[in-house]
Amino acid sequence: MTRVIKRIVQSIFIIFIVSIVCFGLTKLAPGDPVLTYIQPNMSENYINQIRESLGLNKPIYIQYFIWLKGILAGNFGHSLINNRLVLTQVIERLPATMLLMGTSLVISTIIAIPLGLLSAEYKNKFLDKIIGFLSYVGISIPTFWLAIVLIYMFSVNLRILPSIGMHSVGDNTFLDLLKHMILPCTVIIFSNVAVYIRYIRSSAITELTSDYVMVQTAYGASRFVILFQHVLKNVMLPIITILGMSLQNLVSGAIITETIFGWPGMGQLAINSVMTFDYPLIMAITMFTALLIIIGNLAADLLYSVVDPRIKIL
Amino acid sequence: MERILLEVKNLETSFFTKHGELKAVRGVSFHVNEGEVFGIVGESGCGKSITIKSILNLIQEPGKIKKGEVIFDGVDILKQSQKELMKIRGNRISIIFQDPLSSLNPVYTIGSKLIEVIRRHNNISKSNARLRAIELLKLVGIPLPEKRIDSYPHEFSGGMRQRVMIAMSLSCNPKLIIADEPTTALDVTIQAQILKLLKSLQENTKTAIILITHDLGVVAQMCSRVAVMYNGIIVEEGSSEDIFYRPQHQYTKALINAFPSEDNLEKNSKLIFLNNEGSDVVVSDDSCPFINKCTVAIEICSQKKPEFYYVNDNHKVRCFENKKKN
Amino acid sequence: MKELFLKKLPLAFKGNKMALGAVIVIILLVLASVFAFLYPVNPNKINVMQRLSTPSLSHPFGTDDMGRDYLARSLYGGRVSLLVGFLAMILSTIIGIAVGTVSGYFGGIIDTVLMRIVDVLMSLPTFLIMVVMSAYLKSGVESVIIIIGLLTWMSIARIVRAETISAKEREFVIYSKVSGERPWKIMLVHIIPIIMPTIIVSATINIASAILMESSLSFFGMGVKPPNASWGSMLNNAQGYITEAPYLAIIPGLLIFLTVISFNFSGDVLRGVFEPNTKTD
Repeated sequence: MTRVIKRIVQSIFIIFIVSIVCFGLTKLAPGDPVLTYIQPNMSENYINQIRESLGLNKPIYIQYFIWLKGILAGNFGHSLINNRLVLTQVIERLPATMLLMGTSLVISTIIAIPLGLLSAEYKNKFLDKIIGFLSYVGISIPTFWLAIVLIYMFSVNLRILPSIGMHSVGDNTFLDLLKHMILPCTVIIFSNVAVYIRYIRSSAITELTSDYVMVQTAYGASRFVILFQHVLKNVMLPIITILGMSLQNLVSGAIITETIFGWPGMGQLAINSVMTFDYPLIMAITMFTALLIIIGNLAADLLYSVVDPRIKIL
Repeated sequence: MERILLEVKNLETSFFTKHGELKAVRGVSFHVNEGEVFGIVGESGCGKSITIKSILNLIQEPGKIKKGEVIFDGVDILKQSQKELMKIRGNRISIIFQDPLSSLNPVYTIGSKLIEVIRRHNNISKSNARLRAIELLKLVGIPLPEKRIDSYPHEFSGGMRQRVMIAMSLSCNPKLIIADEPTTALDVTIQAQILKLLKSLQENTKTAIILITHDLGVVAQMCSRVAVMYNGIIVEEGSSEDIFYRPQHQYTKALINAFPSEDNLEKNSKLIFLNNEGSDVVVSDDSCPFINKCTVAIEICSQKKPEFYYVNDNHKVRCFENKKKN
Repeated sequence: MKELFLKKLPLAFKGNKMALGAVIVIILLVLASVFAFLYPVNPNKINVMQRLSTPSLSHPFGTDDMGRDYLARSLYGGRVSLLVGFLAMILSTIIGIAVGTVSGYFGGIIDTVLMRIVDVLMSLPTFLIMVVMSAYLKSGVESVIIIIGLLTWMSIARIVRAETISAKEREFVIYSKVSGERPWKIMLVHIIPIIMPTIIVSATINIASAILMESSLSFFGMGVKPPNASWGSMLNNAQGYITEAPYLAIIPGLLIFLTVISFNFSGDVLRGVFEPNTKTD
């Protein structure tokens, strides 16, 4: 139990430092935040008053604590562009991204596990070589290029799949949503599966050389049982690691894909906010993503003990 | 007259690596009678483990069984399909391996594994299988079996783990148990316990056992018949008595002399060490495999591989020198 | 170490045709970009009359929307992409080695602090931060190199640290310590040579990801700015012309892909040579 607490405290500490880093980044940014509020005829005095009201004259650590207080209360400030609450914007965009990434994640795992296991089983045979080659392609191909190529093939040439957005205008059906999801999901799934397969395969290969596999075979277990029951359970560990690492992708992994496909999610929001120098928004998204990364690692760490009884945490 | 349970004929198994063909088993033949304990002795690397893995057709790439027959209950195992093999393994022939820790999948309880094996070969319910598993654990001397059945392998000591393996090997009432150096990884005191257990179980169930070991003391305790292996072939075979009191082959003699016992501790003031720089697996088939280390080699030993010569009905040896004697 | 290079490496590559292919591709690309100036066409020469012409004899890769020869742009673009990838990798590796060896060798509080820093940095969304930082800093090749280098050293540091910890238990290191050699010397002369193979493997994979990151950043308009090109920025430009001139997008992407896959592949082959105990072969 103490280990759990230690990990959580560690994570909180890291989040704290990360928040300082995020804050620091925005403070280092070029440009004066006052500029957005300035109108042509304002007097110097007035500008200073604005500066004062924004708390920009206070020492930096005070500014940080004010900001931190606000964050903990859920107040991420207002967007510099449209003056809406940052939090609202983030929450608005979240479902779209989670839909895209969540679906992709699940499908990626479902595809990657059998492919990885079979790759290990038929190591160096034809199947392994093909799967291996595809996984190389998957990790080496620039996602934006893949996206463009797919758009070209399916939207421009064959015209069977839409290339932009989440819905066609005026069409809110589920089928339409699915059609819009196909291309972006394919891009994400292809890259993910490539990465997953490599981990799963190498882990499975090591497991397959274990003595217990020999023993199980000696006691009459079929290859199928060995692979999909014994080996799989032992391979869960790296799978959990990967899934933990992928949690942050639920938010930020889609930046490139969302931008190209015009998918209205967090990724697109992130890019837009950077392009427009909308600092509060940038900060919020960064903090949010960092938070997910840390939580993801923590969860993965804690889940290990569930899967592998040798690791005594809980 | 004892019935022959298992007969191995001319077994040849090799490993094909980028360095060439490594012949691990080079023409081994022996038989095991029902209900007896048959020992196979030899140093590490002589091919004992590969031989018995070949019996159950467990050899994987880059190894391959080149030739031979393994006749069990009238059927050649090596010619069976995967499906048939699965029915034999763990069911009619089971194996106990040397290292019990790595033999068990660490993420499963020992109970779940036992139950799995029991149910794989018998059509009984989960709860009945569990009862049987508990019975088996009790049989092999594990205290509080109803509780321990849900423990994980790493929660047992080495000796206990091996008992679990023995329980697993008995679970389907096999006719033959192959024990590959079952006590080598254990403390000497635990060794004695395990051997005692094996012996009593064997006497009760009348299962035949093939006992692989490099320890002559174990052989003396347990086996009625023994084969001595060197470099992939059997060089001498006979009853325990024959081997211990009337060893014929130079290698057997060296083994016995190297083994500290009351006799030779008195007579010889130093232990005789076998000159072994590691097994010579790349030895030709045109000479006696022991020629490099044999003290009584004659000319023909370097020209032909010796056949078996019978000292008596049950005792045979592969040596030209012995032929000369007889 | 020498036996590794003289015997095992060539053997591994000879046996593996694809690995050989990968190395050849890399060499070709590097040569092409280095000797790009030998190609007589100016990559920045605008010729609106010939815009968007498909590949032909006079323009083997066609021309882009401003009539510039695409092959020339690809060559020079390649130079930028490869250079950025290489330098970013160097920066990343140097920081990673420095942090990793110091952390692993000294242990204690230095180790804890450094590893916490690594944890914090690894908790940041890498690509997002890169985008943010490249929006801040003045755009250009140097900024991209620094940004990528500063955000990718962490995994190298971790690996180096693990290797250092095991290396420092070796006898000759302990001897050096006992005989009073200064820590810096021990680290440089003894430990780093031991961990060199691991570093080489990581570095190869690092170049691959650095090239990918640079192209992603450039694709978003950050990083290399016109009229200079990197493969990524060429792709950015090409997006608008996907219907009329798809080759504008296909060619640079293909080049990125070939380069990255070759590095990845070589890295894995190197891993097979240097770490024979991993049974994944």
